[in-house]
Amino acid sequence: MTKLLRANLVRMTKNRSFRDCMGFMISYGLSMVCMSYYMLCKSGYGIPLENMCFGYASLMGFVSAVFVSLFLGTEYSDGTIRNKLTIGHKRHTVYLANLMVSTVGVLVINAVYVAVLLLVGIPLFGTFRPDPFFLLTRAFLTVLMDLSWTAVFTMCSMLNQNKAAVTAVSILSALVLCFASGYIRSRLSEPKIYEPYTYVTDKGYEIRKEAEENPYYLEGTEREIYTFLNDFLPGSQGLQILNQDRGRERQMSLYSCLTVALATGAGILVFRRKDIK
Amino acid sequence: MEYAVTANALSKRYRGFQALKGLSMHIPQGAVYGIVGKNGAGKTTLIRLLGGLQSPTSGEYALYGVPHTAKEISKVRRRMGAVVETPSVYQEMTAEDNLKEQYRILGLPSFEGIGELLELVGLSDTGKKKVKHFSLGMRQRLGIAIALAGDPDFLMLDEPANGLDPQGIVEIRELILKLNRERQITVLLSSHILDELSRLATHYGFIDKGRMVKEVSAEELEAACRKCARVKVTDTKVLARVLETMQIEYEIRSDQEADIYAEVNITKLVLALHQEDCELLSVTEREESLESYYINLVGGGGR
Repeated sequence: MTKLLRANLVRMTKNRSFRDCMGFMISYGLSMVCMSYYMLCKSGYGIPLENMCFGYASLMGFVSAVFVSLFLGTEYSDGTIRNKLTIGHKRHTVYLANLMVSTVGVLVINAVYVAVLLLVGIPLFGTFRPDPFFLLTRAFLTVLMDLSWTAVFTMCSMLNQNKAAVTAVSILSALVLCFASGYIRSRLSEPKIYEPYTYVTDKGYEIRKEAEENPYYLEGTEREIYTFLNDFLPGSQGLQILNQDRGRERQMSLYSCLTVALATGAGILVFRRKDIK
Repeated sequence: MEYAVTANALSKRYRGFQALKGLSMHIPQGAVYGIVGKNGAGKTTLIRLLGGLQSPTSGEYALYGVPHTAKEISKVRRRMGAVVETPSVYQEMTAEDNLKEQYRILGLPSFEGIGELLELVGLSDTGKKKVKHFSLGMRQRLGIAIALAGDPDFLMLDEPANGLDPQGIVEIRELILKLNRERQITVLLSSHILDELSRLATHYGFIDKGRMVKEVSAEELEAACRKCARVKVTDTKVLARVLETMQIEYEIRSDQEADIYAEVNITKLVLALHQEDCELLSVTEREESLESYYINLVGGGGR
């Protein structure tokens, strides 16, 4: 395993998709800082540093989809996975080494983004407002979310030998999951009751609307399913981290670990029996 | 005889297609074993199975006596190198970086020997050039260099001459011969370029429709393909007696047919036979090439 880890790590440092993803995140971080500073100068209100810092949480699905599928897809497109298997490396070792190095890659991309943001952001905006424990919890949840994204995309990349197809499927999956997460979040945010309100028509009549039940409010089992999905899906976790929601940390951590275990278990199981061309 | 590879009743079934049907084979250590077969005969499937890229549906094989299902097979695979179909090389890396990567995968303590390997395959002057800019022949040679990185005892090359120009084919051939003779590496080669294979192989395995039709050594094949005169006579016992007297090498094929492995004076032979009441009915000159041998073996019909 250590041999493969070492080889993969060296390859990752030279990998173009890794450098491109890192460059993208650095540019994104810098543009966030510039935009916030511009707003601060113009209106006196900028985006708080912690918001920018966790701003990548919603993007990590795409970044890990691109990086993991291109990085691991090369093993199939260039055929180099055969070099590992023909000399006797066990299938589960090859899979786990690829998963670990992809995870390291995604975390490094994350860390570089945060580092750039802090280096440029702290001199401009000062330090964080929330307490350190809250920030550390968010950081921990982000790491777990990264792990679950990476585990899912590693599974896709290791089980599909077509690099182009797996890249397209991974990016599309990240996109669909993000839209689904946004929808789930908006459904859960629906108020139970529309508050009473009064408005004036064009002709000057004052009309009062009484409080009424919101038909889109989720209740019972349906709400439980949406809440589960909101905690379970990595995209939804990203939105919760971005919005600095509180109270669901334990569920999110548990579900992230579950996603990693399920994706990796299923991935190894199928990969062990897979015919490699 | 000690074998590098033995396979017994090996079968491989893909969805709706049986690629190997109970194939058995024996590759002696130190041999250059050529697998001969049409496209789709099962050559690449066999190499994939032996390389551990795929598992047989049924049957078994052993590498250096270790069954493929045994735990120790991983250690034995460490003695193998393979180029399956296309060379397995990182396109975005240089030749040297590719070899360094393989050294790391193998867990070799230093990069010592990389220069020598590049020299051996004639890629020592490629410098910073990325593999994606290499010619097919250069990639093929780099693939072989990577397969040689662990100093293997057994090398599998799937269609190594595919897509190469004549110069490239000669270079690869000389490299394989050098490896076999100087390093005593057992080589398994698959090819449908029979002429090329006949310049290299010490043993042949003829595959057709997923089955091993015949395994022969180069000597046996040479004997079978020897130039001869096939004669038809009324009594081959008399013919045998006459040829013995004339000290001519021959082989009786049936009651009426025999092969004579020498230039024979037909007049003298006819006279000698006539004295013993035997008639010479026909004489046909025969010389079988590897190609015609193969066609006779598997039949020249469509696929």
